[in-house]
Amino acid sequence: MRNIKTDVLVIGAGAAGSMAAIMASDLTENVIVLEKAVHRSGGALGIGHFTSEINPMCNVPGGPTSMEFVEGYLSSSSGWSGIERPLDKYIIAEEFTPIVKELESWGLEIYKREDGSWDSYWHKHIGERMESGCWVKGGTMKKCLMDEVKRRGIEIVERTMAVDLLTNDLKVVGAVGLNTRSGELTAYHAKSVVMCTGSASRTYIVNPGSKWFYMRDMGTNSGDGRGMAYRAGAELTMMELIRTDHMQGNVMARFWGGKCINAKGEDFLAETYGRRWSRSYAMHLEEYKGNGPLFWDARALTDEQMEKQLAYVDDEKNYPDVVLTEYYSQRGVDRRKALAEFESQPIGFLGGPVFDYYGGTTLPGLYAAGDEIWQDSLSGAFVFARRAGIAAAKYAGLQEDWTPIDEGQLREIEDTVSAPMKREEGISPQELEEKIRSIMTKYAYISKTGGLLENGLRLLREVREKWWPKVKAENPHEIMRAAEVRNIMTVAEVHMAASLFRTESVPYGRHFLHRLDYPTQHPTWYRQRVVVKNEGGEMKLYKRKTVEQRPPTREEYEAVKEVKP
Amino acid sequence: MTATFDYEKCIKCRSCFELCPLDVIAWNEEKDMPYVKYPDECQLCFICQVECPSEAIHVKIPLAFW
Repeated sequence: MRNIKTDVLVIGAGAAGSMAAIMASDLTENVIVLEKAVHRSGGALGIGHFTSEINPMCNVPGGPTSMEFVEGYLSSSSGWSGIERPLDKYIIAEEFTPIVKELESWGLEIYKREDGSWDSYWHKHIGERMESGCWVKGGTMKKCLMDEVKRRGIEIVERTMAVDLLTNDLKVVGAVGLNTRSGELTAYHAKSVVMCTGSASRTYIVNPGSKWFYMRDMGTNSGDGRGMAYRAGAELTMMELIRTDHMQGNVMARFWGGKCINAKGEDFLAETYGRRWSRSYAMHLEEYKGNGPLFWDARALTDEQMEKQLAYVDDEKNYPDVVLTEYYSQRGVDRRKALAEFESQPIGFLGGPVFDYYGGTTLPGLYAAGDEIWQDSLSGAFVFARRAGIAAAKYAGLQEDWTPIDEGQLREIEDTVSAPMKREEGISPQELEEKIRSIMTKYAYISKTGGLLENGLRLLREVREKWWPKVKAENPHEIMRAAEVRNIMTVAEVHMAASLFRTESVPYGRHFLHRLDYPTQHPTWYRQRVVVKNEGGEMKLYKRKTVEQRPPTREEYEAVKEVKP
Repeated sequence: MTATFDYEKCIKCRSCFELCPLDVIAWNEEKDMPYVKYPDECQLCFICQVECPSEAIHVKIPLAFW
């Protein structure tokens, strides 16, 4: 196996991976990035997510201060879920605005008012936290990151999937990359690794007409980072929470302005739940109560409001909006007049490795950022990727030499990854993936019960033991799919075990656990996170107390402001 | 249903083949043209259609999609 040495190895070239690599490159020239797709199309930004609206913009004229933002956040369901780490939000509020200014200097185009100020806004979403953001030209977001990466001469190794981490004792010393077109395996020997592989989203079959790749998040998001980290022994947390979103097909429905009504025409978000529930949880409960279908009602919007909305929505190269525009055009429906129906669908999991304020995981040398860890959307991705990139580079700078690779481990990884190519008979990776995801859909869907979860977990483990050793690959592309399904199995098992372990229902912003057999929050679970860990091949679950649920002080922020390795 | 190609308009720039994030589109070297090798794995992300310089790609959304 070819062996390539680098100081910092970044896995994934989406928003977080690009940012982490750029920030690490300030401190070391030796940065390599692996990307399963290609830089242009990799990650959420590659397919145009989040790109027209970015938030929170704090500490700008008219906008909230960091403290106001955090207080707003804590007064929403995310806050009273009791499992928040409020300083994370303060860090984002404090550091995202300066990052946007930096992005603008790299080429991000921000919509401006006539006086040249950013087209920013500040309002409260019904049932959700305070939103303060600005509008940007979606197509320039990934492009400005690509341009900056190129200017700095950072190497992006495309069509390369990280299949396993390399460890020496518990220290992470690199990863093995699979070229998904040639099948070649390469050992990337690193002083530190930053995982930015996105959300874990290939976990359900979301509707009866759906194929296995119809989903909101990027189709490459098979939970690779979580799978690798779990196998290496890192602690995972918040994996019991599911994220749902209001969807049209595989596209997140937009309803800026207008209102969300149920089948009876009631503005249920405002009338029934007010600000207490997150929108996603409220919508799920509304459907669950039998008040669906739900619609976006824009009939009361003025022409001017509607035009402004469609101007952003129709911004070409804004993937979800291209799909919606195409959808309406291919179906011959005028969306200015139609009530748009949407439904709650599971999007996937954003729980992941336990991380500190610098993106460091519980394994030395391993950092994580973006949707890999428990952070919020693009702002959290950029802020914590900046921190993780700097921390990983500083950690690498402290290592005198590369810690040796365990040759036995290399051979073991090679054997596991290439085994599906050597089988004469067997099932395709797709067949196993569909089986795993159908078990998840049947036994661990949005509303859960202990009985279903126990049974699902048993089935899942049986399937893993019986069918994973029979997966057969015909070519490098299918070796990639096989390596992915291994991670999907891990993510599914961790989610089921964690949501069975947590005997309460907990709403946390757009992420929640809805246990029908434990329909409310329970005091014994207040401030408790579930931690899942692989201990010598056995899955262990722990209750872990988190920090006090109050706004942080300025001193607490100052103490973590400078990034430490 | 997935990407469909208008081979009359295709200028063989390979952008669809190079960009598809799920590597669904392959290149037929013999005929020098793109084709969908893994139609089941298409996410309907529309990158191929959006980035095609000669508007030779049309992604069809299946009826059962939504």
